[in-house]
Amino acid sequence: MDKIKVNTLPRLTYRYTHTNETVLDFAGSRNKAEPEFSDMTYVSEGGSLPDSFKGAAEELVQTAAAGKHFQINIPDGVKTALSVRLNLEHGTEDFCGTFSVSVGQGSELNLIWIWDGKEAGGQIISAACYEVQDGGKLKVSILERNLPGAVLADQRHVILHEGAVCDFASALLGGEKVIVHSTGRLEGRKSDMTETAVYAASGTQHEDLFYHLEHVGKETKSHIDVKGALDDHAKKVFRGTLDFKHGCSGSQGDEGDYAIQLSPKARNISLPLLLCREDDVMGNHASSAGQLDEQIIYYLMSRGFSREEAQRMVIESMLRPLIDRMDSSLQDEVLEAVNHALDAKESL
Amino acid sequence: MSELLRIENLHVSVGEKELLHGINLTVNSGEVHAIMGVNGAGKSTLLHTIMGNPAYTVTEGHIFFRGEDITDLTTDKRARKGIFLSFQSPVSVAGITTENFIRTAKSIISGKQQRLFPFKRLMKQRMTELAMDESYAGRYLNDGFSGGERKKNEILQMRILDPALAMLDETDSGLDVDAVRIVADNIRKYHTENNALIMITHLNQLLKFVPPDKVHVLIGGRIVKEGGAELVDEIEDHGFDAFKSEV
Repeated sequence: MDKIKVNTLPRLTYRYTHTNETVLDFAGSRNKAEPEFSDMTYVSEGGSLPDSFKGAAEELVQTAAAGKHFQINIPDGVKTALSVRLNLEHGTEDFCGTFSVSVGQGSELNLIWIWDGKEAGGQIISAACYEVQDGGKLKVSILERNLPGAVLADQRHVILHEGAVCDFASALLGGEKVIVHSTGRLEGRKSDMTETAVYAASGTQHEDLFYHLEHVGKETKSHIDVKGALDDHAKKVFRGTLDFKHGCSGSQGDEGDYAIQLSPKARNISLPLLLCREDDVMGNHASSAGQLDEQIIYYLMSRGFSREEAQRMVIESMLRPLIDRMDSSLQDEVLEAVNHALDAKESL
Repeated sequence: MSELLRIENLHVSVGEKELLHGINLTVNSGEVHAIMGVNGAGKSTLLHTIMGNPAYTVTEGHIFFRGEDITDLTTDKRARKGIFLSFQSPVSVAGITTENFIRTAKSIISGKQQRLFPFKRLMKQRMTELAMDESYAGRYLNDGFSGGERKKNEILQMRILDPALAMLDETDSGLDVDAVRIVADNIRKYHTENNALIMITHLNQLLKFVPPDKVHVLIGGRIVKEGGAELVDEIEDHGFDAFKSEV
């Protein structure tokens, strides 16, 4: 098993903080699983990612590229929906693969990813390149659940043209080591990208979340919002960067990372970063980590809820606004997966 | 009239500081009690201690509810036994609608699953009686509510949960004159021979509409005077200064 460095910060900080990157044990992959598409109308097999694609680590990109490549091409002016299921049936099974998703001018794609599997072990190593043409809309809802002991790597790069809108909403509720590496390039004027994620980690689960959104075009907008709960010895690292490039005047971005620590042994590292080479922009960042608000717990208990029920309610209430952003067909499943993840906690 | 609440020699501390110094109080079903006193006298401390707020430690004495010693019970168990506290500053919880919250609470406290449509009808009726816009039912609990709306929401919960003992902590503060009338009307509708009320108020606005059977003056963590409704007028005429010498 090799040690690889993943999710390296775009601007390094002091080494003694041990936060510039995450070191991950990685054993390569045995590709067997196949993706299941709900509809093959716009899906084809073949091709490859662009050579310039950069993911969480070179090794993870190469591993993904060793699998099949699928193209999802939505022609101009088409509104459609598609779901893709990556299901690991056996613990010895992995999925490696790459995807290119293109949304044509004025088109709309509602894309759902479900990463699932009941058996312990396995890996999903994915890399995807998304491009949304002028006036196109891309909504992506991602549910990762179950997959005990699995390594999950979701690497993606997004390019947005003029007036394009892209909205990623993720529920990271499975796996043992969860790597998210999302980069976005807001090239076109008035393009808009949102990244939201919820998680509920316990045991020794590790969530490693990297977002880097580049404002290139004028009057672009970005929004990153990550919320979740950590219990037992779980760890979460958030590396979020809003990068205002020269010439992106009138642009606006904000990022937030909020964690509830249910156990004193849970670890939360938050690195919100703002980079700026343009005067006329507005960037906001915020992060907080803390225990449950005892005043709220007491209030809920005064209405008959047990401490455990009150804790769940507070966690669910924090996650709910982000879950509501996901495709409506997934929301009940996500809530169920949140409860399942909370059931696994030792202190609840 | 049967005994509902009995407090014996209650001493309460936060950290090293003792806030209540030997409170004795008995509340029977059918009664309305008013607790009055200056700021910092210990009024809210007393109600929160009865509710079981873990921020307060009972160092001596006992609290009995319907004859059972509940001094060591957790807050949720006290609520399930029929004790309710209307908070002075109700918290907001984004992500849970008011209707779902009250319906779940009612199911827990009553021990009966609340069917959706009958509950909706009950909720609508109670909201109308409180002159609350129905849209509040679908809004997140107290999220974006004004101070007055939050207080009405507390009374809404009291009416739907229908506790045996309702404790109101300055429910009239933050309400305009009309709202005080509406809230008082709802308190009267709630109150029967089978339940009891303990109200904290600085003013006697609410007490004009809901006259107390017994009034307790609390100063410096001690009950220094007890009497009937006539004590409210005495306090209004002379303030609390006359009682401070009795501490």
